[in-house]
Amino acid sequence: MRRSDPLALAELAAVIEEATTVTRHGLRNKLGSIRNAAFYIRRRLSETEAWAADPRLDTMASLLETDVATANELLGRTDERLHTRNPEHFDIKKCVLDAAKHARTVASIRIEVDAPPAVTHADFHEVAMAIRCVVENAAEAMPDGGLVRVLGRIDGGKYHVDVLDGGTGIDDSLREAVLRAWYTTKVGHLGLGLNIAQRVVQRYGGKLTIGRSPFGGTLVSLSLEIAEKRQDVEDPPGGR
Amino acid sequence: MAVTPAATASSRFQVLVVDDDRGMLASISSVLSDDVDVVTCETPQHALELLKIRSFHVVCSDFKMPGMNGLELLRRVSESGQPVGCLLITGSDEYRSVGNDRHYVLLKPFDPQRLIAMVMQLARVTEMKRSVQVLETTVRRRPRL
Repeated sequence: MRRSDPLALAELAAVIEEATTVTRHGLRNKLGSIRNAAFYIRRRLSETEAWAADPRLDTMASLLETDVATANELLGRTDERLHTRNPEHFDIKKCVLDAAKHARTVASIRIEVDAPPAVTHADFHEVAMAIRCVVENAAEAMPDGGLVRVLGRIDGGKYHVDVLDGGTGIDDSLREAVLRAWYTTKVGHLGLGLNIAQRVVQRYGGKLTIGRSPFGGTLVSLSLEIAEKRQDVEDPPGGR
Repeated sequence: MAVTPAATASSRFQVLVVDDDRGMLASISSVLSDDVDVVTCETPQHALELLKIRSFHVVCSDFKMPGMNGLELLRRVSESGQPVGCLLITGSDEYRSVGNDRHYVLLKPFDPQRLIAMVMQLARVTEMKRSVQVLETTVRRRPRL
């Protein structure tokens, strides 16, 4: 982890959250199947003479149910130390600029930002990290270098951060797949960037959509809810 | 409150279960099949096609599925105009951050008895709603004296 990267903690927390969520979901499905199987076996066997003759069968079914309940309880536990979120009011323009500033791209990539100011209520670092994920994804779509445009626009009560690249674009049939955790076509990548970005904006009532960029590549749009204007919006900690 | 008699063997409640995990479909089906008639399908698109040609008392859907999530499917089912009970069955926490639809939710791993109870209750409510619809139609058609 680079000390100079103020979004590193939010990124690490997001990766851990994603990995935990996917694992938890898979395990809950398996536990569900085991629980249902125990119920089915009990219901079928309880009508037989063997069930009445051997009390160990009932004990075994009960143990299975208890173990599933215990495992599920363990899955539900969360470590408070992983809760790094600090929702606050902030200027989305500053957040977009911060994301662009800390994007880890190669020298042949140029990032152009044009975003109007507007206030939202969310965790600053988490949203900046989500925007950075999309910006870096756009940069990686242009291995020979190019321009990543990050444009902000206000539409009603929503603020849209549009990230456009000039790469080869994402095939329509893959638009859903690229939002799945661990989906990647790039060597050495986890395949979590867009997935994490989507999770973050959804957490604050927004959406992530994928379309075609007028510059030939991909347009990824992140929406955020605009909060009521506040006079006391301060810079979040971090020395921006 | 009037309670619709439990479905008899000849008129059992019809339940559609949608999940992209075949193992989970078989598992839920085995839990429910003693009490209701279960039809399973693996995609939300197939479920919507089935709903056009068959009537179900309850639709139980997983949340995370390719093409359309379970909340979207249940929203479409609710908006079809026909009374249908909707139940989201999921092991994912994500459904909380997607949409504001209000459906009954059962988290995996669930107590199978609770699943049966919820499905039966939703099916009875559907049956009652259908009876009310029939009554309303009959009253509207009745000639004025």
